[in-house]
Amino acid sequence: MESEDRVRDLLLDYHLGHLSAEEAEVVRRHLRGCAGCREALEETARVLDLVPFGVAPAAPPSSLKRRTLERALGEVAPTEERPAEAPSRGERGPARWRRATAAWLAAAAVLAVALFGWAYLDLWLENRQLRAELQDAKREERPALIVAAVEGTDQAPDARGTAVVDPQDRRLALDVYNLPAPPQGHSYRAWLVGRGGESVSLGTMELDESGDGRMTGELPPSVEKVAGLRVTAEPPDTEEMTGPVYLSADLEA
Amino acid sequence: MEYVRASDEELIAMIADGQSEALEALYDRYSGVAYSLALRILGDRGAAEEVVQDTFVSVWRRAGTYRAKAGRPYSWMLGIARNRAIDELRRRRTPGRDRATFGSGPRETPDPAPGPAEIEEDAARVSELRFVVGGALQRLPDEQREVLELAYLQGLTQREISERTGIPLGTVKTRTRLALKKLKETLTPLMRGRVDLDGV
Repeated sequence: MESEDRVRDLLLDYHLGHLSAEEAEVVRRHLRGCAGCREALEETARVLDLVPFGVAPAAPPSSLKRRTLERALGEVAPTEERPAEAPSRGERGPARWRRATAAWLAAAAVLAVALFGWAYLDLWLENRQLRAELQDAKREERPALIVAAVEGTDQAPDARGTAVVDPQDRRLALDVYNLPAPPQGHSYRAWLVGRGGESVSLGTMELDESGDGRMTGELPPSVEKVAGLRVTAEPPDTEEMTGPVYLSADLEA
Repeated sequence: MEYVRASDEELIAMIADGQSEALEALYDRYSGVAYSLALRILGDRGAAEEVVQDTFVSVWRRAGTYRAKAGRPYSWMLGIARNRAIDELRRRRTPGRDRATFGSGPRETPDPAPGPAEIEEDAARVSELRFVVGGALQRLPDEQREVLELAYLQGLTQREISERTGIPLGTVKTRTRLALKKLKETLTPLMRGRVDLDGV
């Protein structure tokens, strides 16, 4: 019997299928009688089977899925591959004719099933493609939501927030946290900044005792394309953004 | 049946039963890993795509022959992908060819528009597996990772590694043993748990 140390050294090559037929047979023979090496092989296999997940990821082209499924489904239905039976020797006369007839009938049936299957496959693939195109079209119709982190400036380094803009429905939701109390005689106001640099007031932000606040509403029609969002402290009745910026977000899609 | 939520074993059983949607779900789950592996081994996209196609065609045809005793479905399936890629590599191997490594990026620019497969694969479980296993491989000492790369990604036996690198065979075996030991220590939690992508 092969020594245990030598077999252990061969387990990697054995699992990866690198051994010659003779070497593999030596390992197999040893494994039959050695529980320790069987366990070592299982451990080696479990480690090596995870290795593909450690390879640097790369994205396959999206068309590969359709091509792969077409190729797979264009083949025969999944079955266990069985070795063909060898014909019996000395078989002759009516029995052979019956077998030949049965073979032709089977072939015709397979052909019919294949043709029907092909037609069905065509329909199935067309249906899938239409559904995919419909989904793509829907995706194209509806632009993605813009979700942006709202960061505190030096005026409020602990303040944070989240802004969500729905470009389709032109709506905005703004959540802010940890804003300090505004300076005496001031209140916080949110502003939308357009790509041209123009700013439009979204209104005054009311805060709770923790400095948290929320506002939702429609995007002002005067801002066609949004670029950013600011929260400033302003005196009452201000129509322009003049005060120091406490929170800022980039909303460029 | 919600195929996306089915376990790997359930998908394989459904594929054996001829349910094409199960094959599609399995493709979404593993095609990215299979493609990355084949691309890393072969170094060109066209050949990697062939390997992925061959793998899933093979899964479709042979799902009925899968036996759980032989390992998890992903082991079986990615084993098919690796074997195909290594076979192709051996067929066309020429001296001086670039060597594949685990961690370096793909030799060709990745598809800028990720397909549905990648989107599915971004699910947390795959990311976690890639993060943990990739990290474990990168933390191996260079000389240990090298022998593992030559064995796994180049299809070389330990003797061939010794011949190619000039490192004594005994040293190659020691490095291999140490690499596997370290990986086992790091990956044991994954190996004990259900290291599959069920329900991704």
